[in-house]
Amino acid sequence: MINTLITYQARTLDYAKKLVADLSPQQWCAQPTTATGLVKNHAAWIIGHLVWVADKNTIERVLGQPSKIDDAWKSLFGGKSEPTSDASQYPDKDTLMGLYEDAVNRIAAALKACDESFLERATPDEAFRKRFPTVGFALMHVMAGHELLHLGQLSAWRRALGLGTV
Amino acid sequence: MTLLTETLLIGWNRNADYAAKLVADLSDEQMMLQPNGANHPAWIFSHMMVYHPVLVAMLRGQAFEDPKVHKFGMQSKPEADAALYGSKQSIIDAFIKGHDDVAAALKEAGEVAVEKAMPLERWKPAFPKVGSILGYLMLVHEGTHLGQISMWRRVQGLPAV
Repeated sequence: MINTLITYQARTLDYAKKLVADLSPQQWCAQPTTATGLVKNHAAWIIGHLVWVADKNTIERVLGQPSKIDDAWKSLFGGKSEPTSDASQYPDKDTLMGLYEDAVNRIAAALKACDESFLERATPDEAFRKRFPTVGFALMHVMAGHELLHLGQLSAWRRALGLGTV
Repeated sequence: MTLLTETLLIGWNRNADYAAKLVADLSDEQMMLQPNGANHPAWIFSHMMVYHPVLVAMLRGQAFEDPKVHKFGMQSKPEADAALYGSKQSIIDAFIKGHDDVAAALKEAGEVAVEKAMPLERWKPAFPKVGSILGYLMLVHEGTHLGQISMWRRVQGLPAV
């Protein structure tokens, strides 16, 4: 199951790269206006949120490895953060994609050093453990479920911007 | 049940709940809306359901057709003809039944089924065993499409779920 999770996340990273490859700096934080209002979740927020979750939740809270991300980013990319149209608040595409890839590589390296029994351990973080009792549950959620929900949003956000499919 | 099976079922059941919530307040007409050519929910659900019988067949060691050629497979596109998809309620009912069928097959399948070689040649390079594609089809693939509906809702001015 460890190798499977690593494979899924590697494919997810490839998909994310394709979804943002053609985005200009102006599009990176675009919140397209539709007939009914504003689409808030832009690419910068979605990728930044995935970086935040990969680092703070997966690496720190589940794998017990040190975080590399500034805690101050919680207000920008945490679970309850609200995307804004102020592009100056957000790191650029190369920065966030670099951090995302780095986090994916750190997760893969940490998992490769474990055996399958690691997945059966209780999730170390108490709050996380209430939803995901074992490390395996938690990793399957963050690596195979959560990331794709947001990349699916990114896919539909591209359409709202008038961009093509990936 | 194995750890893999239990883990997959948690995510799978959450997907079913989330999917039902995403369309709970939609009318039959809204299920067909394609802002800027986006995939409409009727197609997304029909597309996700293509893989339910495939998963059941793989877990039971039965033959199945390559889903690529299915009328709602990866090569299909959302069509404006609502009759192709049926009512929202019929779509949701079929989706939930498909989820239940997969869950039952997964619970029945033992380690042997999960360790079987991938029967579909096209999938073998990426997913050499039946077990290696389960999470991909059940969580990764469905999650991507449910995320599309989530954003589709925002584009319609509908609240987050």
